[in-house]
Amino acid sequence: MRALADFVYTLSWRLPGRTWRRLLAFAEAEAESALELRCAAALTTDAARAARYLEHAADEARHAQILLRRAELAKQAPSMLPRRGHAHLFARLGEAAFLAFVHLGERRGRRQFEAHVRFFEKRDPALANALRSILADERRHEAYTAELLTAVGEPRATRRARWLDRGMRWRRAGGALTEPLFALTMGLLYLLSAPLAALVRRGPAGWR
Amino acid sequence: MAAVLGISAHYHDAAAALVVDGRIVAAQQEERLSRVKNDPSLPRQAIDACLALGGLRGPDLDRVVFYENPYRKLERILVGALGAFPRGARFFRRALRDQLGDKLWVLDELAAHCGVPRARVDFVAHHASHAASALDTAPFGEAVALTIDGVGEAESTAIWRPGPGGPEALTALEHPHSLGLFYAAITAFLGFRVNEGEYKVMGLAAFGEPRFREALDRMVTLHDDGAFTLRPDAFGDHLRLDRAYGDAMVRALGPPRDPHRPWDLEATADRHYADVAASAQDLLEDAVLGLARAAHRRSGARHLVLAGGVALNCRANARVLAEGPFGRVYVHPAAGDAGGALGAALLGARQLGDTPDPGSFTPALGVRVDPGHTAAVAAHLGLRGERVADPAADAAARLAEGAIVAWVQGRAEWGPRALGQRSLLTRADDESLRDVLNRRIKGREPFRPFAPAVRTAHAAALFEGAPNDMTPTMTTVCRVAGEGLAGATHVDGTARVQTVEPGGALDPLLEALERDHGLRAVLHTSLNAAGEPLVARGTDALDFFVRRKPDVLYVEDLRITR
Ligand SMILES: [Fe+2]
Ligand SMILES: [Fe+2]
Ligand SMILES: [Fe+2]
Repeated sequence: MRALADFVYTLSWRLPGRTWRRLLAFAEAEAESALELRCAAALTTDAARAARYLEHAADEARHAQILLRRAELAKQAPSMLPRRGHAHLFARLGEAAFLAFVHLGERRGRRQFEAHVRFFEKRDPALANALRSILADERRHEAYTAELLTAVGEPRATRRARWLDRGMRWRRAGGALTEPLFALTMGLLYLLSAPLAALVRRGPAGWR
Repeated sequence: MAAVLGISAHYHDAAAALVVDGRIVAAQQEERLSRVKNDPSLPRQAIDACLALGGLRGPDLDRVVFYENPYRKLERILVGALGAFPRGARFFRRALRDQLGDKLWVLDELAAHCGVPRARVDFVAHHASHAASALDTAPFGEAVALTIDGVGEAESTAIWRPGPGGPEALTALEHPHSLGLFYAAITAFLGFRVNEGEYKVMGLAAFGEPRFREALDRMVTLHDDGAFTLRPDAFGDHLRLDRAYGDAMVRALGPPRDPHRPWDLEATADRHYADVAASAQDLLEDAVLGLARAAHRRSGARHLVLAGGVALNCRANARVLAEGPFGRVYVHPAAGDAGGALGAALLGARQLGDTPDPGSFTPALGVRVDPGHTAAVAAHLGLRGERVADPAADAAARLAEGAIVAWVQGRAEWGPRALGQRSLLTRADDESLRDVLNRRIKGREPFRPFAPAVRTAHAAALFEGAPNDMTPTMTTVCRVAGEGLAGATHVDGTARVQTVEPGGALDPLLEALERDHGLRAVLHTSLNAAGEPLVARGTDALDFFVRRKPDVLYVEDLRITR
């Protein structure tokens, strides 16, 4: 089982174009959490925590840039972070569950980065170094969110965050499963509507 | 007597605006609060902010008005996908997913978020929203409104006269004949982000020669009656905005610019693209001027008001005032789709029997800052924060020394321009400071112009044609005539000047600069980094200060340094 997991992991980086795509996806995730944290800093009423969120946001924004550069190196072509929204977690969850959610994400991120550093240690030492510098920050993020979580102290926050975290991942997986079905249905619908295309006129020119 | 909330959302630049008993109480763009540039999502935070600023709760609202007809819009999009058969398959799928996902249910979502019965949620037409935003905030009456954008439901351009129930349409042009889409195609061709890079095209245009004008005239025909037609093969089918240009354009102008390559206007390759920008700008200006003349012929009105995204083209606006048939010209400062939220609210107010009060309009309609809380956060970030007795005099002294000053005062601005509420300032007479600001602090292209701010009393001495109805909100450009503006003058000798009235956000600062240091202007740009939304709250300002490192930040009377 372990061997299979290792094989799948290796494959996840090895397929052509996979490395830069994955790095770019990481960069996107970092940029997204920077936005969540900036919003949290604006929304919390506690000045000390606002400052922590801003520092954390600056870290994540920097990570996004590092990973973007690395993706560009792997792709051997310039790239851009797509501009996407974020989930507005603080506004939706409240501060305690937001912290719990961020803490879970940091912990998962830290574990994944540990695996990535191990994987690239020999294969691409420069990339491993870049990832290691990020990893140091992630450890700090994991620790301070745990501290704040205890301080804010809402025992059910972690459970709520865990449900949300799972929910979001399931939905993503569900999306991946239903996507081909949706695409197929819509493709058929499009084909069936094709005769209507003949009726479509170009907008009239000139003043109405 | 009614409380009406207007909303724009779901395409670009979502916003909310609140009108109570005909008075404009609050208006806020979502991007400033979500920190996502041009955030199109349902403006939940902006709605909450407007309600809080008005001291209301959702259920207190008599009407919630969406800025366009979501059903007509869906129809146009799906019909467009079919018209592009078979290439439109992917677009069709994505459009249906978006529409079925949330766009189609926007009215229900608004009712749910505001906590009002669905029957109190209504919509108005897209271009009517634009027209109302201009007519009902203009500093004069007797005007005709001209609205020009990419596309609303089906219209791209319309002419309106004011009526008791709101703007009444005189005539219109329909998609795909659209100046917004023409300029979007050029924006994409030059490698900029559509709906955002249009401003860069205008700045770049001043560096080029319009030697492709004839080539572009074969793609866009300007008719004698002010109407225009776009040749289909020169433009994309608008299914993909990043490829809004068509094959015929590529054949005529060469390959589109690689967005990733840094700009070098000394190099032949980039001078070519500057020439393309200059040609497109030239055509756009002629087209807008033709529309203005058409509006005059059809209405006989003495004055003109403008709205819609194309009305943000301040060079075109300057030509309309200088060469057009109107005595006065005004542009709603949030001329893009955000402004539709305010127009929708004003239209809703009229429908409920209120008469909008244009005197209640000011661009400072957004969220407030809390200097006390900001000071506390700054202290936790290890920054130095002091309350100063006279922030204007204090900042003026720093500016005179050549500092770059971040300036946060009062309620946030409405519209894309910083107008003194959330601004980044430095001396206007020093080109090297401008370059520091461009590259180090803002991180943007070298050809982007900056603007000077001056007190209205000095405008006539420093600029040709200033002040006018557009200079307070920076929706036009004027030729620089006076001294001391080297850093704020664009390569073509013009500047997008802001004239500041007594009592304006920058007035005390300009007064102190003149009194204590003999300076009559300040170089003025928006408080944000390239690609980021304008700062709104105290924490956003601190975030900017920590990352981009201007010399000093003022939040009301709080001075922050390192
Ligand atoms: Fe990170
Ligand atoms: Fe992190
Ligand atoms: Fe529009």
